[in-house]
Amino acid sequence: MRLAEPADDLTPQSGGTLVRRLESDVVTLNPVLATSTYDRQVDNYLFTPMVYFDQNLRCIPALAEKWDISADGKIYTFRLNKNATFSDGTRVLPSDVIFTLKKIVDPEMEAAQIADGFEELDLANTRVVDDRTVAVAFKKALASQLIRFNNVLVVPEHVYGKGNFKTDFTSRAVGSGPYRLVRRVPGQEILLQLRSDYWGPKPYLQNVLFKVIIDATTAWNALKHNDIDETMISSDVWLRESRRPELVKTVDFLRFYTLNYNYVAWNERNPLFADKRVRRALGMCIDLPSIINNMYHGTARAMNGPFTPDEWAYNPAVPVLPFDPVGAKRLLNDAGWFDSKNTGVLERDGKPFKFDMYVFAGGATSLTFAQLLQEELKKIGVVMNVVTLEPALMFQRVLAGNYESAYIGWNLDPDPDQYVVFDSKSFPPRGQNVVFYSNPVADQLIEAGRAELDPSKRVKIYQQLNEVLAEDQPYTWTIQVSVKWAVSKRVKGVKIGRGWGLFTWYPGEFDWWIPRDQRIHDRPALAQVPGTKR
Amino acid sequence: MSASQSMAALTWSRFCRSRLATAALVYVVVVALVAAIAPLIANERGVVPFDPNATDLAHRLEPPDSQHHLGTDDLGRDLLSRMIHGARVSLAIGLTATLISLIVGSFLGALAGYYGGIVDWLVSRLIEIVLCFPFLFLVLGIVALFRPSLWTIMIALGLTSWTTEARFIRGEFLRIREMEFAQAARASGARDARIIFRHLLPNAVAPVLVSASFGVANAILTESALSFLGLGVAVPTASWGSILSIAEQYIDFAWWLVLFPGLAIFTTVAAFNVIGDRFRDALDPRSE
Repeated sequence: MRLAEPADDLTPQSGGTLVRRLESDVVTLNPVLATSTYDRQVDNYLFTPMVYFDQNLRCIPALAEKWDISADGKIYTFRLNKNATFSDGTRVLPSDVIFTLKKIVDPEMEAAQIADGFEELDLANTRVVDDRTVAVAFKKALASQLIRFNNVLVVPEHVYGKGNFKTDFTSRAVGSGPYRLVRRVPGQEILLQLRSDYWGPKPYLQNVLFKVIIDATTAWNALKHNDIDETMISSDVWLRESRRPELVKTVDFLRFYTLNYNYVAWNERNPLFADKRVRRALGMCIDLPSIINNMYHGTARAMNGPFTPDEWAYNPAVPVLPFDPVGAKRLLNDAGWFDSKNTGVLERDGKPFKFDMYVFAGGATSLTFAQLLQEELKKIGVVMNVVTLEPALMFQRVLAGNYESAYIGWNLDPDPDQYVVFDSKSFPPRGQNVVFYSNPVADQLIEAGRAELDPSKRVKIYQQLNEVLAEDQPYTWTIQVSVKWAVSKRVKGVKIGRGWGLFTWYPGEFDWWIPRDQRIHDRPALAQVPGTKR
Repeated sequence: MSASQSMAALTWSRFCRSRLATAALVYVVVVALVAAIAPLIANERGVVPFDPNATDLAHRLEPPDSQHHLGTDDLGRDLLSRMIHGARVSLAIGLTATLISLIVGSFLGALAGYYGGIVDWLVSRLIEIVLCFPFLFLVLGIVALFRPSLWTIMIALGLTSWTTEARFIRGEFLRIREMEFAQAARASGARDARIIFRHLLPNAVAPVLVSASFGVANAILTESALSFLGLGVAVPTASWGSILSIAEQYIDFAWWLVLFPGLAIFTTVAAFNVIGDRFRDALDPRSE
């Protein structure tokens, strides 16, 4: 007999292998070029951002242990953690930070997702202060600037500065995160291993294996068969499975809201949707309460504008658009649309009210939603064609403003700045005002909101903006669906971050652990030399 | 065997000797009839009292009961009504696509077989080019390029599956173009078009009809596959494949969404295959 630590469910034990589901393979492991949330899910283990978000999405130290913001809000001085090293053993230097920022704003790199937050970066005045301090300068003070540094996953210049930055690092990674890359098999799996020389507080898990499982049903079955430890699940699976006694014994069912919402985008370049009465009328044909109750079993909530109830910018006094087809028809009549020829289809100047709505192919809930709207609109004399498009193609068309209407969603930043999506200076292709919404009042509020550094004044500005946008209905905001997750009960330490869910806040996934006697995914080969066949 | 019996009558009597094939034929006829009168029997006031597109979220994903005999789908639409209307779409696609491939295939095959030489060379290379591409990917490509609709799918299927027909017809033409009746037609001064379409084609078409019945089955299956991949007929139109594609994510608890459309596709495709098989045997003089 050997002595052992007392085993219990409260004291985290180091070691073990976690198997995570990756809904879609990463496009690249280069964190500067990351485009999807899946990329970030993996990058978070391999790289460290300048600042982490805590459970409430406040900025806390990460690579930077301290920072100062100059009085005019234009200079951010970061002091790096002196112990911070990359996985090749070299120290993280201020020059690496500047190198990473340069790559982010380099238009040739097309780091679109991250570059948006650094449009005002002033590279000429950004400089190394001493061997662990860097001063980052901006041309304009923005209230949302600090949180953007959560997207700055610093890469070492001496590695990423050589070769082709765009193509050489899709399956290679050298970062300052707690894990290092053991192997990536594109389309199949990514294996990470805890760094023995990690400079920060060490996470508990020895290995993290990402398995690419695109299909939701397959993933849910894989979880039930213990092939994976966690997966997102659909509302229907949640309703039918989360109360089954034999599953509740082995699976934790978690539910939470994240920062995202769904909406219908009405392209205002199309004469049909230029009139806000028309947009409002179409939105009034969506029976949100019925959708929430019947499709999501009450696990979704109606949106009144671009802010979720979890955000401080949210204005609870703004009403949600009611379901009122009769009122909708009246509004359309006011806007000049009548069924003058008794064909059952509304017309104006001899033209029938007819349009296309794009939805994602394969997105079953989008298709369901679109068909419900289609059926309601048919009753009031509006013909809506549902066109399913492959996701990449749909993104491309919508982001180029090349569509009539579309049912899509946004994942939101923790900051409520709406410049990129609703300001009239953000029309595609430069910005993401994909509906071509333009209202001087809204523009003024948006610009005041991002420049205002006083939090209490910002709240007022955004609440007012919420009202203006709800009145203009550039989108028909629909619902925010709560995310449902299934995590194996073997995994301990799982916590939910406000608005961010299970991952990519701190400590988040770094707090997860698996008791020694429940490590079913450990295989001897994993501990051996990287690249050994299992 | 009486000499007065025509080829068609002979084939028919041979065909009917197989009970399975007869049953399959009856089944297909019944399905086709139901499909033809779908709007009459499945609407708010019909025998099946539900509009195929009428949504009812409060009753979504309900198992079969006395009201909804085959249950409801994810939008609360009556599955039976959608199955009946779906038969229309699936059969229409199967038959029209096959007709298109028959026309294109026969025409090109006839040209190649009759004229030979450079025409034959061109048609044969064209066949090879089309065959180079995997069938489903070619169809996917065409459908994705244009808008997925009933007609796009029919045409895409028709324009990608004519190669079999073309090769059959070409082979037959090579065989019969030098036979006496063809030479007689030529000697009497008939124009090429008349010889091809009046004299040769009717004598070459029988084996092609066999492949056509397999073609219908194939087209129904391909439409299902396209719908399953989200490139089928536009919503809310029901086809068996589109019903099945919705079923995929509810497979764990909505068996009726999988079983009924699956069964419909399976039985119809099997029936067409049995018919084609028997038809081939019946046409074969050596089978006596």
